[in-house]
Amino acid sequence: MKDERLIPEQDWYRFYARLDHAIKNPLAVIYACVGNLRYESLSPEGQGRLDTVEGQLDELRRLLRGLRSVARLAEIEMEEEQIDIVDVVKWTLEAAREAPGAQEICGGHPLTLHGAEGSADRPVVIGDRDYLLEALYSVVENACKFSPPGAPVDVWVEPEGDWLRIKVVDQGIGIPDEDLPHLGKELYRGASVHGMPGLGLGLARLRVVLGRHGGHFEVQSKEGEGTAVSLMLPLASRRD
Amino acid sequence: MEPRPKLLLVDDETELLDSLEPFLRRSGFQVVSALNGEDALRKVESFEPDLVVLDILMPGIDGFEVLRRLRRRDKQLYILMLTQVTGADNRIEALNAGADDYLDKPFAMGEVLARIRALLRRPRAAGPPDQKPHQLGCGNLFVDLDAYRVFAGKKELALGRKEIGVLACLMLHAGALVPIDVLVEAVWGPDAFITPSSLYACISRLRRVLEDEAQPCLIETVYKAGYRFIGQVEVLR
Repeated sequence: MKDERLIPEQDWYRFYARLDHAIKNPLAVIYACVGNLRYESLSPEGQGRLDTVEGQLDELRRLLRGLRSVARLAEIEMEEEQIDIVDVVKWTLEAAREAPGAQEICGGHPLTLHGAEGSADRPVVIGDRDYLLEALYSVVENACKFSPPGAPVDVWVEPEGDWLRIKVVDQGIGIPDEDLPHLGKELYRGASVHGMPGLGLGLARLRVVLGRHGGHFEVQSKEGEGTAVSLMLPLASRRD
Repeated sequence: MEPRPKLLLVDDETELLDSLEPFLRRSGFQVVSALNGEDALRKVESFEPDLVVLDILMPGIDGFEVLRRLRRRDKQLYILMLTQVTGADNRIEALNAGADDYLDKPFAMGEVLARIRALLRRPRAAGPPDQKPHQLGCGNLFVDLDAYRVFAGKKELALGRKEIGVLACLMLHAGALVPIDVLVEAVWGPDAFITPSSLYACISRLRRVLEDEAQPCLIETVYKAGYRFIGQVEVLR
């Protein structure tokens, strides 16, 4: 599966790989130096500073791995099978409700699937079920993360001509207008989410996964009211 | 007192060796370093290490070639590869060529110590290298690991490759907790960027198919840690 629109981005992906490679050895040396200092008889304050150095190293490493993950998603082998997308949505919501670890973020938010389920002609897309599940899961998780406790998150599955729209709607904090054009850019984080955990790579990964499937995402949002993120995928019939 | 295990560190980055060597020595090992592949092969002969920490990218004989030569010479020597080329193929190649484990650069010292100690605790297989089971059974459940097919009695179960991979991995470690990251890596491969959500969905599908075939809950969830197969597994072939 290749999307022509991704080609101009290949230079960026190669840059992430080079950056990752160039920084690995210096980081490994700093980690080793910290390891040696741990054996010195340092004051509690000195140990605390070492903890800070190591914590920041971990953060830097997480950031590099995150950037590399975006580059890897652009080239990793993905399946090309016919997928009943309603099943993927159902599994995603079940994972968000019950997967070990998911409840901390998604627990307490009623998650509901609307549309398409009862239809005899369920929408089919061609692609990789696991990566589509990952993509949708990240959007549902974000919707829960940026919503008040207990606020509902609704998912709509709606064919639109040759396309399928999977829309995740929350009643959360919303996204300021000035941030909307930058969503999906690596490491971009809006002002309203500063101080909250995250690297600003989730939507970049979403963009790449959808791009690999010939799709894209759209966002509508109003601050203080909520956000709707749509995953747009070509229906299997369109790709035949 | 037990002798201190012997480590050979092989890397062309002197700064890294200068820091890693004293750290590992203080952590209880005898340590010798080599700056390139040729030097590493000589020092394996003279120092006779228990474990080699081996970088891949080096001038001259690279880490892969050193690994292949060491494996031809000594199947018992533990080898931990330091992978540093971006991408998963590098690690798969290392494992296929006979590395016991790999560690992505950069790594925290706690991680390298944990990997080294885990490898040194691992018992070496005494038999021929191909001890891989081909067929597993549990009650009327039968898994053909070569054909990647699963049967309940005579009926073949409609499971995808990922579900079969997860089932096989759990059955091969029956009774033991298989951590989430180990399962993800075993089934989707390293660097697949699959989160526990896909694994959870995969296990749910698997459970449903198994339970439809009147197999009680064979897969147990260990909250936040992983999964465990709780049936009695027999290696049939």
